[in-house]
Amino acid sequence: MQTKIFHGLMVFGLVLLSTGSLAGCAEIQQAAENAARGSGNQRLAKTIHGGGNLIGGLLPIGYEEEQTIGQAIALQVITRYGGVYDQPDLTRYVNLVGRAVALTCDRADIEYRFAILNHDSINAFAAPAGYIFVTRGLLKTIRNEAELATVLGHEIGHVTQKHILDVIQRSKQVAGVAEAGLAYANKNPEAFKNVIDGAVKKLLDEGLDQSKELESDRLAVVFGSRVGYDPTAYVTFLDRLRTIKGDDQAFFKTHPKFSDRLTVVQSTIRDQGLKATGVLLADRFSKTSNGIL
Amino acid sequence: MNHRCACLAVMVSLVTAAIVITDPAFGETVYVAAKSAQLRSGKTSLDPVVASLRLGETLEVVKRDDRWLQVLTTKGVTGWIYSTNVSSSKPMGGDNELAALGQSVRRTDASAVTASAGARGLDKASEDYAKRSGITQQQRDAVDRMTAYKISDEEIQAFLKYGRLGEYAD
Repeated sequence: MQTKIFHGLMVFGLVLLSTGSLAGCAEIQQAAENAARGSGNQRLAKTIHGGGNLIGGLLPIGYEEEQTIGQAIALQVITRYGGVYDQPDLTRYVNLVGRAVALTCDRADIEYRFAILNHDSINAFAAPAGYIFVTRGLLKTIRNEAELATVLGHEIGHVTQKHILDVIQRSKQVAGVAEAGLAYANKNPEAFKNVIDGAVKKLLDEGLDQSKELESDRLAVVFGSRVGYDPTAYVTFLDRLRTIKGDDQAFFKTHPKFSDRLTVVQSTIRDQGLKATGVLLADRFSKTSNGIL
Repeated sequence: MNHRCACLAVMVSLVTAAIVITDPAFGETVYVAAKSAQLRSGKTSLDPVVASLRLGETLEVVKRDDRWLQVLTTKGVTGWIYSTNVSSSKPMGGDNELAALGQSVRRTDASAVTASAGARGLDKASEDYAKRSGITQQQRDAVDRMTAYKISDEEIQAFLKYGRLGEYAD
């Protein structure tokens, strides 16, 4: 009995250590769990294991998990938006523009991939881990490379700011997932499905919070400018979109008002002193896209 | 004559040192903010590359000149880098420290991760998700191809150069 109490106290001490100093947390948690198991206290061992998962659930999502989530969301985006538009030259061009912008974005160390969706609607999406999509309809609306670069910059902004991962964290809570990471995704695929479906609904049907959209609008011109594109191209594009969309209620369900977006973009250009470089590269854009879209 | 030359040389050195030291940027620490960047012997994109720099590398500013910075690397190489390739704050990684810790907490179950995660193809959890959601093989292949799609840093540099973007703008 005394031995059990001693083991229990030792384990409790280890748990305290693990919560006091997060460094080496996994190792300490594992040691505590093993000690509890060794003392024959399976219940305590289980609690410590759960505690580790709880800590894991509170911590931000790691890149490995982010990639899995990104892939799962990408599967749904492609399925719901007519599949990928199979035009190798245009796909390569969109990837070059996107990766040129991503090269100096605020999260330049991860891979960004871009695909064209075979859909007439005017839209673009970003899934975690840099899976970015633009519709054929959007490309038809764009007039030059600077507009494309800033539109892709907007989507890259969603990834750098981990906007969708925020939704996933909340989606996990709604789905009742206490643990995090790929462990639960593999052990409980149904819970993972619920989490992804919740995030897809938010991304494709309800739209992200307006503050997130406006933050990405700001980043669109900042990231585009860093490469040398004219940031005013994004203003021109938003203005054209306003004319095309008019009072399309479905569109405004997922996006802030154009007047708010234009105000935010123009004030960013002004406040950050972003130069109107005049670099639009309309020829390069039209040469690659003409006759294909 | 020799005495006058020596005096002149000392004065020139002092003036040069004063100019360098009074440059407000002198000694400032900056970080490479681009995924990859080139350090050049001069302040134009036509000057030869003296070193290739990686994201997050620490640099000490010697001086600033318009859109270029003369910097010293930790390996002692001096050269010029285009201003948008550096940042005064250290760029964040794919995993920040907390996220990396979260990953380590969960590592006990990492055996379920397939080796292809992060390299090529769908990983186990997203493959399972595809099956459960009735997503066709064609769409799975599309994400697979997207994951594997590669463009080298050299190709991106060539693209920037052709469009006279970034450091090739001058």
